[in-house]
Amino acid sequence: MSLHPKKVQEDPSFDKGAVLRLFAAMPDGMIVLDAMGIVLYANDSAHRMFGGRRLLGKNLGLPIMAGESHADIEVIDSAGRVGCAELRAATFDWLGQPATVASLRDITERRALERQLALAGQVFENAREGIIVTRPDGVIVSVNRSFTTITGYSLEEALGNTPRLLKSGEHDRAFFERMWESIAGQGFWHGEIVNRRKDGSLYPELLSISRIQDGDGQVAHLVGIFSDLTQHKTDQAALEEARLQLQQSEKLLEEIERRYTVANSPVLSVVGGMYGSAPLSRSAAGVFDELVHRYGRTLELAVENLAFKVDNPVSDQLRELADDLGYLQAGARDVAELHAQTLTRNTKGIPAAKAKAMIEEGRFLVLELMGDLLSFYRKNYSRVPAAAHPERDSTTKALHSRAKKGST
Amino acid sequence: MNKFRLTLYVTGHTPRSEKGIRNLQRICAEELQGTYEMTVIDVLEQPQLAEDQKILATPTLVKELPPPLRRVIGDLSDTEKVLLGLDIAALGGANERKGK
Repeated sequence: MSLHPKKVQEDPSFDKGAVLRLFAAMPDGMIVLDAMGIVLYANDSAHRMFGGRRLLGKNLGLPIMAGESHADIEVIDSAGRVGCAELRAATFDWLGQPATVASLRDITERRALERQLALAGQVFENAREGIIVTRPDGVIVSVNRSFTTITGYSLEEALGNTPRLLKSGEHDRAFFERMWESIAGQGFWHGEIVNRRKDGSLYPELLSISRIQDGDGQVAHLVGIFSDLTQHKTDQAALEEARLQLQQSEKLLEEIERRYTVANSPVLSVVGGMYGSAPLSRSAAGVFDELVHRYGRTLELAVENLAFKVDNPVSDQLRELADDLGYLQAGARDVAELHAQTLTRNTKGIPAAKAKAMIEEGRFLVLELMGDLLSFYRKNYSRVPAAAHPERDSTTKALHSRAKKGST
Repeated sequence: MNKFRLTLYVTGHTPRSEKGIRNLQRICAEELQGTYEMTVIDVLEQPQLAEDQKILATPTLVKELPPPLRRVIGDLSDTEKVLLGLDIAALGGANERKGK
């Protein structure tokens, strides 16, 4: 370099033109303003920041800022686009008059990046999934709030540790070898894993591990994102149990239907032989009405249980009802009719949502009632000899009085 | 006494815009003793108005009345600098402060 700073400062040939060329070459916008804020000079960078807008003679305004620091401002270019700039200013003497030199540093990209980072930070902290960030050697460099919620370990406890902190001992070496092979080969691993919380309890989680590379393609970090599957597994188990119960009830229902419809069924030979196939609603209309009334109340209680999380003794009432139906030698068809009539009566003139709840809850109720009725027959059938079977009429009378007693 | 007519140009509903508005409200309330008319214009909502007034940057605070017309840009949190930039001799607060 031929330029020597000391020599330049002392050189009388260092003229105003050179200073302006220096200004022009600066990457920051440089603007000289008069005492009223009118632009006396602006360099190329300043013109670029304002989208090529003519600045000379325009009133930008006098820069002010708190203390001696800078102020962030928005600059509006000729197309109306808004950019961000860091404004600094100093007063000086410009060609014999007091002036202000303002420097503008374009921080539009930096601000956008900061906003992105802030957003990423918010997403990281507020994600419902637990997030672990480690160095390539596995040392944890960051975890989010959900990590702490799920595992019980705070950020401070996790930092500097490795994810082995959560090791449950439930997986063998081959499992982890496959995991690391996948991360090394494909760049990610996804699957279920059982880990251990700080309190020692085990929990299943769905985990995704991804490699994060830096600009040179080197692995910079590993990120693990996981969700606690405990609730999911519990829900799944409850769902499976409900499905099995439903299946069982349906089987019972089929069995009742079969016993009452197959001609050579022993039940039908006893019951059907004695009373034929007249429906209860016709052969014992009064009692049937009472049963509809009772079943209707039970249905209301079941819906209440569902809506208000109370514990009305629905199952007990259904068992009593099934016993009475059993004494009446009722069949599946009678139960179906009882159910249909009750629904018709109880859903009349009530809000649609309540009617829907009643119909949905009714499906379970009728299956339970069928099951109870079958249990009644299973329990009592063998002990009731054909000759000693009570007459439907006498049973009807007995039940009638019992139903009346129950309804008061 | 002539009313001060002040217009603040901001860009969007950002924290910086909010801060600028709060600063101006404070300056008006403390220093101009009810003799002011204050308008806030969002250049994103009224770009033509900003263009007509040749607004180059925000926040820009313009004193339209009484003359002389003055503009300042930047951080409005320092009351004395704002009043000086707008060529306003404060009516109350600043003088009181000086008297202390």
